[in-house]
Amino acid sequence: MSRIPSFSSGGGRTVALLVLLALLAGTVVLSLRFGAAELSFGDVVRALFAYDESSYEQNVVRTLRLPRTLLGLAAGAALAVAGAAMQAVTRNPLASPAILGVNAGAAFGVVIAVSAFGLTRPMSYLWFSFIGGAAASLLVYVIGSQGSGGASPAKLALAGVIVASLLASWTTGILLFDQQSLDVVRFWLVGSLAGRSSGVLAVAAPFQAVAVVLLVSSSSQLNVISIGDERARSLGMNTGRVRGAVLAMVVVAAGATVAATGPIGFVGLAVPHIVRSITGPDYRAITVGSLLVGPIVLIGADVLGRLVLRPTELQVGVVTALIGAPFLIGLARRRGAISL
Amino acid sequence: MTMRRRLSAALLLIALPAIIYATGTTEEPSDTDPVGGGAEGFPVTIEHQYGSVTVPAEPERVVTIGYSEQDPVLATGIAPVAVRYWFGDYPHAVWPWAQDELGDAEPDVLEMPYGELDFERIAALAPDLIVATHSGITAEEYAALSAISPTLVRPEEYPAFGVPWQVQARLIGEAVGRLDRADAAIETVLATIESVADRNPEFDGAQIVFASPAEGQGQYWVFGPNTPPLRFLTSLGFTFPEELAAIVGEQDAAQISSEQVRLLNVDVLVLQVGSEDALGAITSDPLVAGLEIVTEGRIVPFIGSTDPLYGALSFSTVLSLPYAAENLEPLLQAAVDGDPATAVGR
Repeated sequence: MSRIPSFSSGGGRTVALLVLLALLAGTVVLSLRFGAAELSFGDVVRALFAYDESSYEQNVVRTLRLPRTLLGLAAGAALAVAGAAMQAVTRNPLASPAILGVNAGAAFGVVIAVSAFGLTRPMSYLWFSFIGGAAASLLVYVIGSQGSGGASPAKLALAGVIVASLLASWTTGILLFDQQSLDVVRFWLVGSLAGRSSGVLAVAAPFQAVAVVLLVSSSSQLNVISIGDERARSLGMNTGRVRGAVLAMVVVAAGATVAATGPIGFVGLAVPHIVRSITGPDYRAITVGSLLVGPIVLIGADVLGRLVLRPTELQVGVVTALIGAPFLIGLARRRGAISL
Repeated sequence: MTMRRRLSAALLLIALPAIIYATGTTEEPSDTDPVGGGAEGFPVTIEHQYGSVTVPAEPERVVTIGYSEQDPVLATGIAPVAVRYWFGDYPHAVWPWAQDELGDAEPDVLEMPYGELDFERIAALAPDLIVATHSGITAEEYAALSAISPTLVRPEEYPAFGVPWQVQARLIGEAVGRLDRADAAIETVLATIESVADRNPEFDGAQIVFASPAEGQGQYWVFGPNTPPLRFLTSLGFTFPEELAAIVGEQDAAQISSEQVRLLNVDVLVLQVGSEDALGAITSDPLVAGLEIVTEGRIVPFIGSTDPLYGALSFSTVLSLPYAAENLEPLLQAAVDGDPATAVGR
C-alpha cells in the first residue's frame, strides 16, 4: 500500500484537507463559469451577490448552474462516502451502493411510478425511486442474511447481483411494451445533474446530509469492521448490528441521491479508491477525503460534459461511465491499489 | 425475439425524435418525378430499394406496416384491412384528418413494438399488397414479407423514414392502380399550402423553430430545417434561423442546452410538450419568462403526443398536411403578430 509518510502526521492531514478544499472551491467556480452559454466571471459574481432578475446571463448562473452545482456537491459527497462505507463493511474492493441493488430498485420504482401511476415529473416520482431503492436493498439484506453466519460480505454481494438482475429485467420488460413510459424515463435512466428541479435537491439533501454525517462519524467502527468479522468481534464489536446500521445509512445516502439525479456510476466505486491510494487504509481519512473528492470528481465530470459537445451537453452519467471504464481496468491491473 | 432485436428496438426508441423526422435529403421532389407510367392496367411493376415489386391485379386486401401509410392509401379511396399503430389514441389508428376517407371501414390495428414486425399476424391477414414506405424495413424483413404478398418499400434514393409525402402518395397510387387519385390529392395539398401562404404575407420571412424539451435533461430538441414538419412550415413562408441551422447541420434534430434557450426566441416557436403543466413550467422559468416568445405570446404549443396538430406534422402525409395547414393557420397568425393579447390559445 502506497502511503505518503507525512500524511499520518496531523500537519500533513491539515495540508491535504486545505488542498482538497481549494480544489473543490475551484471546481465549483468552474461549474458556475463554464457551460453552453457564454458569460463572464463578472456575471457569476453579480448573479451570486447582486442578482438582477432581468439579466439573461445572471439567470443562467442562478437558475441553471447554481442548482446543478449544489446537486453535484450533495450527490458527489453522498455517493463517495456511501461507497467508502460499503467497501469497508463488505470488505469488497469492488463494492458500491449499486451492489445493494439501490440503483436497480430505484429505477424499478420510477418505472412503476410512470407506467402504473402515470406520473411524469421527476419531482413526483422521487419518492417511488427512494422507496424502490430502499426496498430492494432491504430484500438484498434479508436474502443475504439467511443461513449460517448471517450477512456475510460474499452472500450480500451475491444476493445484490441476483436482486439487481431480477429488477433490471422487470424494468426492461415493462419498458419494452410501454413506449410512453420509456419516453418519460429514458433520460432519468442516465444520471444527470441538469434538468432536475431544485425541489428535488430540497427533498434529497436532508437525507443525504444526515446519512453522510453519520457515516463519517462512524469511521472508527469502519476501521474495526474492515479488518474482518472475527477480529472485530474479538475487539467487542457486534458486527451484525454495525454492518446493518452502516448499510442502512448507505441506502439512505445512495437512495436519496439516485432519486434526485438518476443512477450515476463510477463515483461511489472509484473515489474511495483514489482517496485510499493517498491516505492509506484509515477510514477516518478515507471518509473525509471521499466527502471532498466525490464532489470534485462529479462536478468536474459535469463541467467536462458541458464542454466536449458544445452546444449540446453530455449527461454526467455518461461522462462518469466513460471515465470509469478505463479507470477500472487500470485499477484491476494495479493489484496493490485494490487491496483494502 | 432475440436479445439483439430487443436491444435494437430499444435503441430505435431512444433515437425516436430523430427517426420520426429522418429525411437525409434536401431534394424537393418535382411533379414530374418519374415514379411510374401512371397506368391503371395491372400488372404494375415498381422499382424499390430491394429490387422491384409486381402487383398482379388490383389489390383488395392492403395492409400498411409502415408508420403513416394509412393516409396515402385512404387518399386513393381504398380502405386498408389493417394498419400499423404509430402513436396517438384514435380508433383504427386513423387520425381525425383521415376520418372522411375512412368512412365506415374498420381496419385492424397492428400494434407491434417499435421497429419490429409480427410476421405471423401479417400473414394471417392474407394481404395482397403490403405497404411499408415510411419505415426502416431491412432486406431480411423484406424477404419474409415478400413471401407473404407483394410488398412495396421505399425507393433507393431516399433514406429510411425519408420518402417525401408526394413521392409516397404517388408510389402507393401507382401500386393500387389509382395514380390519378393520388395526383389529385397532391394537387389539393399544394393548393391549400399556397392559399394559406398567400393569405398570410406576414408569415413570409418570419423565423420559426419547432422544438421540444428533453424532459429531465435540461436540454431542448430542435428539429432540423429538412425534416417534413419544417419543410411544411417553411412552405408557408417561414424561415429557419441561420444560427440554429449551423447547430443542427445535416441532422434531423439536435439538442441545445437550456442555457441557450435564447436561441428559441424567434418570431414563432412551435413547442411540443408532454402536458399543460410542462408548458407552464417552461414559460414560468425565469430564464424563459423574460423572452419575447413568452411576453409577446409567440409560442404555438402542441400538448401531448395525441395532439392532432403534432400528429399531423409528424405524419406529414397527403391527408395530414391540409389538416395541419387549416388548423395551424389561426394559431400561427396569433403567434406571429407579437401581440400578447392574442397569445395562442389551445
